[in-house]
Amino acid sequence: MLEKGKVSSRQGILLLPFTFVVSTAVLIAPAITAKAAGRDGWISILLVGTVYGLLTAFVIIKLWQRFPDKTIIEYSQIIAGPFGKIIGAMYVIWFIHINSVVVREFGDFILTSFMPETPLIAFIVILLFLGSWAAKSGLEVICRANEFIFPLFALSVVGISIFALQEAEFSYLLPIMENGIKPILRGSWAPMAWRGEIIVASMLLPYINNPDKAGKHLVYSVILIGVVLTMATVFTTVVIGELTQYLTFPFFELARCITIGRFIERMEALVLVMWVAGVTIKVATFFYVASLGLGQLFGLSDYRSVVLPIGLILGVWSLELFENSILSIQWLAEIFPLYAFVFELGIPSALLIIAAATKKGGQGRSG
Amino acid sequence: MLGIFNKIKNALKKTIEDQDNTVSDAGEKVLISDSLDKNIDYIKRVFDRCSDVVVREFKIPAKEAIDASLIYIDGMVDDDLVAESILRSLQLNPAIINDDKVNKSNAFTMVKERLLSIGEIKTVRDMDSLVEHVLSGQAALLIDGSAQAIISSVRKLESRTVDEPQTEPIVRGPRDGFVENLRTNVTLVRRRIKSPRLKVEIIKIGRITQTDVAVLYIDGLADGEIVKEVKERLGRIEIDGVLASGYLEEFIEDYPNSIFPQVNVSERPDRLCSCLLEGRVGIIVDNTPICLLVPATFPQFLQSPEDYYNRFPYASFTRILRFGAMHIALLLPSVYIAVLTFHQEMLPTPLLISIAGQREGVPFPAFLEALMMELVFEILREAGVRLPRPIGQAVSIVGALVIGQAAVSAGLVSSAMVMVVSLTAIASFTIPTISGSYAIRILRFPIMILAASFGLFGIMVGLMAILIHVCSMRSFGVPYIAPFAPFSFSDFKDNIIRMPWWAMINRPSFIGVKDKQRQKLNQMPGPSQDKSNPGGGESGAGKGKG
Repeated sequence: MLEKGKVSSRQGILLLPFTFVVSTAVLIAPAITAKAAGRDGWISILLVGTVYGLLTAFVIIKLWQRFPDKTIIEYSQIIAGPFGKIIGAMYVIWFIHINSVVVREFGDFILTSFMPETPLIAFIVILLFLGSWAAKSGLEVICRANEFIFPLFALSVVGISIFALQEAEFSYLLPIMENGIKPILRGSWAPMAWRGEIIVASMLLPYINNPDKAGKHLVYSVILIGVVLTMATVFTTVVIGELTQYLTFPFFELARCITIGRFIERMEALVLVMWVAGVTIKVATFFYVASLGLGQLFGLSDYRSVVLPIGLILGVWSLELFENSILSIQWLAEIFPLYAFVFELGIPSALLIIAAATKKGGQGRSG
Repeated sequence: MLGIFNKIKNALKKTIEDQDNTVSDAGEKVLISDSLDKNIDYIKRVFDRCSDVVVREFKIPAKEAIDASLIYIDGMVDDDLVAESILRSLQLNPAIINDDKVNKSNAFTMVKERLLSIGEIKTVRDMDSLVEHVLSGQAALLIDGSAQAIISSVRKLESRTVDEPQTEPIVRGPRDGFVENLRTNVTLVRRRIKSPRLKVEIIKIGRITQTDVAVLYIDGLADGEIVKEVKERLGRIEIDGVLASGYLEEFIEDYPNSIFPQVNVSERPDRLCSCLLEGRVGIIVDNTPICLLVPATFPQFLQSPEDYYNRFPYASFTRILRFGAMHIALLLPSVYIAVLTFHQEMLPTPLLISIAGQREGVPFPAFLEALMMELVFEILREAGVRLPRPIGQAVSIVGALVIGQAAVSAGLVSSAMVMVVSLTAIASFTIPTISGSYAIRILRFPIMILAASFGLFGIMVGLMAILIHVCSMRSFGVPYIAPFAPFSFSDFKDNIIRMPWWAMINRPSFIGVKDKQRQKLNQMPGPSQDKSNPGGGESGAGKGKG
């Protein structure tokens, strides 16, 4: 195996997916959802998103039970034969692509919100430096670093929401489902795509040292993500109201609204802390799975040798990906969901069906 | 380990051979011959120009007087003991004077078994170990006609008396600290842990200095793998001299280039003992009052032994305080720079106006101002440490009053900056271990540079880089920032806060202790439940769980 370290299922399957999904989703998803679903966006995130997340988790776990010591790159080659390599390569490219989108989102956010005069490339290079260092250090280090920042991260999200309470106007949520269920379903496209990012777990599952808990933890993770994202959406809706859909980073605006005792105000620093910490972990994780996947695809003896090349691709790609941040949000709202769906649920389900039909892989443990 | 002994011996032999090639064949032990003259001849050649070596030749007054000779180093042995228990009992002992049964052939056994009144004796057959023992402060007795020497332990090394530790003062708790003498130090530990399970293994390190290094651990508590690893790493060291424990520290670290300390040091025997009881391994080096403790984890550097002697609410309070102070020491100047340079909007308006007013006439950007003041402070601090104590006071007065006050009134720095720097300095003094505070003090500067270039984002990037670095570190196999990551709830009882003793049922789990439980369950105290007084309440029930 390329990765020699082992992590506990709490570190790798419960906490890590939480950070890498929530870190970007919490800032961007509320606005995209609100565009389609209006004030009912939270229902999209809570119900439809979670169901989709659970479905993805189910497929990943079922596949993993058939191939307990293999990643999706490896078992797709067993299941799909000659097409397996192509599927694996597609996943590696997908990981790199999603990562470059994340890096770009990150750069755009810092640029527009904090330092408009610094060139974008500075943020991208710094972030990629951190990410590649973590990816080179291995899965254990990423998981431990995530475990350390998790409380800070979760507390910032919860803290901002609670501090924003005094500005809240809960009647903004009413009436619920004014236009029926259609807008809600349409609004759930984007959150679904984010929730499905837990497909990354299929690259991590073989390296868990207590596999009997992994399935349970993945489900907990999906539910926890749902709860936190719903909270963020509800609070942006009740504080900012109808305006949410016109903002790029509504959660950030929420933090700006906070005033406590005329002294503690403008807590956007907290968002920045949360954002940098979370996105570093997210980028490191995607970076890691892309390198690991590439290593497995080409049968390398050590994935670390491809970290630097992937970093270069990432840097260039994220710089050239979108012309400006408006286009990137549009891409995230319109193209990303469908694109993500193929990789998150489409291909894995197909793999599972083929594997079940051709009886490949072990029947696995129960549960 | 035997290998290193042999290497040391060979090295010793080589130095002897350099002086006189006829002494021995290379690679073979020089045995003690049965002719006293030959032996003395050899010894005098080995100790040529060593004026502190005493070779006392005398006669054992049996019927037929037997020549004998005592070799020791002046000043390393107890003179009274040598005179009383060796010379007197051999020369003036009525039991053998003019005894005709004593002759050359049985004198050795006779002396060894009946005449010497010394506690610890040993016999050796080769010259090298004789020389080694003499050098470590024992007396060697050679008797004509026998090819052996008796080594008697009459060591008495001059040493400082056990004194209060200078670098780790505490208010409540024991006040004895380690001294330079290894034996005294081991005794201080043994006095606290009266158990045969406390093992003290001696390794000699240093080709020329031949320094004794003691590895201490509690058998059954310390992880065998860690003990083995410690001994292996110590055994690998080949250096000409070990003058202090710091020499060894740099040889046994896992990440020699890291800025973070990976070996905990202490001059308090109580700290060493508490670490031993947690399953760690202690290393005491002869001639150093500072012992080394491995494996080290980062939270340890923020803990003082006093935390365990004070009641738990007070201890927890000071620990939280220290934890906060560490962050102030690391981040305050950087946050000040970042806020003034990039994020003025984060300050409440009145505060911003007041700071801006103070900075009115200051000619430097905030970063330069902060960097200058921090450097001045570090210089003052170093000067204060190096100077003799009475002058050190003068330096601090000059620093605090003249530089601080004068710089502000001259308009070179703002008074807010002086406050920031002094708060940072005071905060860095709360870190109870020297090596921990060095790491924080040095890391402050790169983070200041990041803050000046990228504001809060830069600070956060710096912190993430530090986090990734410490997460990838292990000290002797133990994750460096345990129990933060990997997170362990039960180990958090003794981390940022300290739970009461009766609640800390288990030893730290990350060190690999097999015998996890350190105390009986359910020992939470409460008013005694007197049967005649049924209103006693429920306080007797403990909450600990297996």
